[in-house]
Amino acid sequence: MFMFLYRRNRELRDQLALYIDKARAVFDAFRDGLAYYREHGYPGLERYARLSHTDESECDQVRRQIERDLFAKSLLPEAREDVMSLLEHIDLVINQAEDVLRQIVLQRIALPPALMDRYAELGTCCHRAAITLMDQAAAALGNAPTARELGDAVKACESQADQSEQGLVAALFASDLPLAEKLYYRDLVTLTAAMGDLAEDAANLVTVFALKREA
Amino acid sequence: MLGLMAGVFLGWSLGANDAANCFGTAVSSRMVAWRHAVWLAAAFILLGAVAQGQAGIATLQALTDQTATGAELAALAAAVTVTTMVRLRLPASASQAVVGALLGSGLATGHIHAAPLGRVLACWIGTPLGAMLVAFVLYHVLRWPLSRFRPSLFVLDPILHLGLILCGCYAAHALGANSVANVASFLVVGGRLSPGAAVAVGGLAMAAGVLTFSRGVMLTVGRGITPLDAFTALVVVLAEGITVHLYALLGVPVSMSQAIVGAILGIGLAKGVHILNARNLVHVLVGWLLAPAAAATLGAIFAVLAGA
Repeated sequence: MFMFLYRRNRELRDQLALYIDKARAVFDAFRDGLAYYREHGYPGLERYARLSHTDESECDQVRRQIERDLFAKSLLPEAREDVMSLLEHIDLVINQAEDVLRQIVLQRIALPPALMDRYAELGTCCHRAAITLMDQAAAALGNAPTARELGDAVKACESQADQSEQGLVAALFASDLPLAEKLYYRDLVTLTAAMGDLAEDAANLVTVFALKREA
Repeated sequence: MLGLMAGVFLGWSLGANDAANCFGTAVSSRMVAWRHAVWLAAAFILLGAVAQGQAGIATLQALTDQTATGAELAALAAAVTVTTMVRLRLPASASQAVVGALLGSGLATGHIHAAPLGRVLACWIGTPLGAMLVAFVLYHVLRWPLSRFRPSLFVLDPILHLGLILCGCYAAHALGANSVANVASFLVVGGRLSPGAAVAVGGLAMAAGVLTFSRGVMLTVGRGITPLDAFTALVVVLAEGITVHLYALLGVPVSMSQAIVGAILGIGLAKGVHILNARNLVHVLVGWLLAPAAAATLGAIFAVLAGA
């Protein structure tokens, strides 16, 4: 009987692992896209935006499948709710990563070269926060003892992203750019930094999830 | 006939109320479907009653010298007491009401034996304390492999799921073995039924109570204990099952509700947190005093009226 119940859960475990892999792919597309943007600007960035969109769509498909299957598996009700909540929060980070690339392409945002290094630093912090979040989620689902430390690491990344964002906004408004442009570029910076905030929110949730199973 | 009806009614009421202590947490938190829980509880209560339920009959019979009529009236007094207290939402232990009714009847007719009474009272006090100790030990024993091997969500949840079902079945078996004597002791007086037949009738009455009327109580009791997580709920149900089963083997019917309160207190001690409010403790104290006192009064009144 136990093996029968466990076999049902094993499919769910594999689907969650697949979801995490797909999410990593979105974040890697985000990282590669921003690296390209730093070198070449927005022309040609569509390729990365499309790639992140494709990966995000696959994530959605896997997530929908997990949500459909979750109630047929033998997880306890509290665990089902925790897993659903975890997916919802990770999904927000994925959507944000995809949205950053899409907005740069759609609005043809050409960030001034003087700000590009700082912006790349912000993107790196957000990417690191998102990837660490994925490590944390995998650890929490496997009940590994590292989940809490990884949660702290996500917070540290978010804190760095916050500092980068503030430095970038300050530099932006200290520049001679027209106010409309300052606001226009600031929106991109805020949009990108929100990814770190969302990753931190999700990491807090994952930490609680891990603590509940340790208590 | 009156004794049989009162006994069966008492058994039905016992099943309807006490099955909640076996599967309440699992059902109210949707870990086990209600329709599965009631069939399992009914089957295991009947099994426990038939397999191990006869020991308590001798204890209850030893408390007083009863005629067939006296036993019928005592059964009626116990049934009326339990039903009234449940209707008034007061904590009621059928085991304690039965003993109270027998004592009241015995006092009125002057046929009472003090020696077995001391044993019964000691077991009443020992029920929550024993359950507390068992829960405390079980919590630490079962916690150790979880801390050591840290099974993932996908491994632990099926174990807890299965464990809750198995422990619920075991607790239902213990309930049947322990409590059926409350019913059967009235049915064997005067040789109306053999002990084997009496526990079968009592077990069937309890199973009928589970199948027909346990849902509301199960959800209410379960929600009252919902702050417990699956692991803690498993320990509580197992601890109450072991405690009540031990008393069934000793032949003293005790209160399952009081065992569960003791088990929760034991978990609180083990975790170093306060998870039991004063209301639960008052529940135990009132159960100790009110049900037997009310049943004894009613049993004495019935006996005096029958004598007049």
